[in-house]
Amino acid sequence: MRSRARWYGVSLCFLVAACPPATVQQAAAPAVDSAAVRAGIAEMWQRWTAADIASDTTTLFDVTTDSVRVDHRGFAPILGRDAWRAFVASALKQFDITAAEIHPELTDPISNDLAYQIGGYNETVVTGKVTTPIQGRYAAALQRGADNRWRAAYLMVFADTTITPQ
Amino acid sequence: MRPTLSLLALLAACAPPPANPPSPPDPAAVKTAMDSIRTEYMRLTAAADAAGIAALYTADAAVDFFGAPKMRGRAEIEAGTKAAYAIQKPVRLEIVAIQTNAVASGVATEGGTWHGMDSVSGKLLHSWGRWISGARQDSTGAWKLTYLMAFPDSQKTDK
Repeated sequence: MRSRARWYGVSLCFLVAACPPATVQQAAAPAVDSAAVRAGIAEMWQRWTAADIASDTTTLFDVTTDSVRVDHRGFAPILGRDAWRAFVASALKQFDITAAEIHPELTDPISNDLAYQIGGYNETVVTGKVTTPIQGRYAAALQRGADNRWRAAYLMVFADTTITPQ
Repeated sequence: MRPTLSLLALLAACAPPPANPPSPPDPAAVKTAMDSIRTEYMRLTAAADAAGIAALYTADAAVDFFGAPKMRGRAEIEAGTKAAYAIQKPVRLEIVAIQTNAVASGVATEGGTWHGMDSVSGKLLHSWGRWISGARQDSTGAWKLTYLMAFPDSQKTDK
């Protein structure tokens, strides 16, 4: 991951299955399809990490919302997609990522279009002849766009370890 | 921290439908509640009250601080906070919220900056950084933190 809250995960599908039919219908928000939310977010991370490794700027420029904010330790706040693009372009000039994995720990689908997630990441960064494995943690607010694709609307990221071989 | 299926939520879902749909979140009320949590967090930190800090969280909350192991659940949060205070005694904490979001009924998120002052080996260590948090309103109407992540951007030790 180049750059990269706790919330209950109540399955409304389970609730619906557990409850008798209601006799009175109320106007209510649509049920949250937690499985679909998780699947959409997993696809986003897959797209993101594959683009990291391939240095695919077209995809990396499109993994955030227009108004994204990224708080990445070691960098000034990244505000908006243009700033994100500049960050990605600059990073790609400095190093390559040869391996990247995202490990979601907890996902809280707030709606079918918004979810919070915390987790960890591993990546291997190559700068010149130096290969550095990095692992860290992230917290994200993720949104589903009109094109049905999930993107990061907010990210806070810090690396826990950076081990540079001697 | 593990996902939890709230029995209360299940029971609420099975109860007769309310006369009116759930009211939308009240941003002003949420901001007041979050302001209160932050004020209490600052006070408890200055008092090095780890148990008090832990009580601001839900039982299964999570905390990710740079430089510290993951803390999952109120008991770990209290133990981790107590351990941190043993290394560097908090003197003062200033928290500024840049943005407060009333996400949905009973759900809020915040983010901002912080300035901590800790006593380390008799010297005052200043740290400045960024934070984000999540909070939920419980069945009694009280707001509790569900998540907190923070990291320092810079540090300085007074001479």
